[in-house]
Amino acid sequence: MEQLFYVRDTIKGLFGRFDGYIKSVLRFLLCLIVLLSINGSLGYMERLNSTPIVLIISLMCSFLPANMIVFFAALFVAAHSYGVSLESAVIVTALFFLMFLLYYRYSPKDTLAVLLTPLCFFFKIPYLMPLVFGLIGTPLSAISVSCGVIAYYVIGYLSTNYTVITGMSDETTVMRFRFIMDGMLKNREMMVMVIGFSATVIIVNVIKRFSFRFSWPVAIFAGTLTDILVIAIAASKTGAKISGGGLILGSLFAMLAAFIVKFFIFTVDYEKTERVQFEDDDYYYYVKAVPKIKSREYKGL
Amino acid sequence: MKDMDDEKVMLMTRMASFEQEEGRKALRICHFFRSDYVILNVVKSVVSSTIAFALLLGLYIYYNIDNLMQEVYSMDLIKTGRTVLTYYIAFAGVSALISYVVYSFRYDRARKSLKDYNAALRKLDEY
Repeated sequence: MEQLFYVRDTIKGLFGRFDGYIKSVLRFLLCLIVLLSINGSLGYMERLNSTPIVLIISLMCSFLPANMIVFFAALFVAAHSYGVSLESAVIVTALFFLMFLLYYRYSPKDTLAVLLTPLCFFFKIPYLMPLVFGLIGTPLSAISVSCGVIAYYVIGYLSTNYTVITGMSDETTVMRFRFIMDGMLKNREMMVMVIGFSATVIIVNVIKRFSFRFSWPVAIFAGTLTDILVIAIAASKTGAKISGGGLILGSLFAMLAAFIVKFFIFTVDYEKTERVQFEDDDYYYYVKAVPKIKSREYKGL
Repeated sequence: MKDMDDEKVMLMTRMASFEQEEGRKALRICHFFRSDYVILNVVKSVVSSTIAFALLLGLYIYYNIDNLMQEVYSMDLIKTGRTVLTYYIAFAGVSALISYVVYSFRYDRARKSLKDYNAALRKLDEY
């Protein structure tokens, strides 16, 4: 255990010292992974598939506000959906605009939730997101996580139905529009995931706020249970195809991962070094406030 | 020249840290009266929900354009308009209610943190 504390505190020390640089690098990597994943899944707009464009945008995002990554990701999906058909571009843009209105009004700081939720679906660990954002976010993070779920299913729909949609060239515009709308919005699996994830975020967040001693582990356990029960019940009521084994194993893995994430990431991210300046009648103060190190071995860098 | 007081430096550091991040937001929020802040944000939400509703209505109309074109002459337009208006009021109402709760909570939290900050200021004054 002491070793783990040592590793954690080393990471914490690194973050404290190189906070600005590490954030820029992480933002660059996040943007790169998001855009490459979108290009890999869709890629119907040839011009956006070029690596230099992705690299340039990722470099720009490394020093722009984090929400710009969301903007570019949405732009990429909309452009690729234009490569599928005009109707799908209109629907995707309208859907993203609706989500933007919701997200921007209530939880504009939850950039990571919007971006990481689809990525976690790609990496087959989706059940981790509601637990993590229940722990670090607010109840309104349910909106951001839900936006991420919808974005993932929209991308999935376009990628699996590309041939069908492009093959409908004989049909009228309205018919194609209706077909895409039905496919995207009447997706029962997506609805079940949105309901389950929203319930989990809210439950985890509410329990975490209680002041009893083990509120965090209890919140993770309760969240895992909520996730499994709500998704299982909603899936059985709506007839959505969700693998029971995948749900249980995925949720248990997510529970384990949530404990690890809590141990490693939260302290690093939220207890960063602060640099402040102030003065009184006698002195100017330039203070660097470093969070206390918990393990014995770590003596700084 | 007198020596630096450790406690005073710690207090000032915490206060400066608060001013840098949370405090700036709290000051911006508490710059308003509670009712003004909440109403302003409720109005913003109603505007957002009006745009969202218009967009949804547009999508619905285009989705059902064939049926609507056939029925438009036999349709009771006043009744339809009233139904649409009822949906809009319900939609905007729910959005306004959620905003009212969320922004009231945010104002109270900002007010509390500023109260703590003011208490620290008074304490600093005693040094």
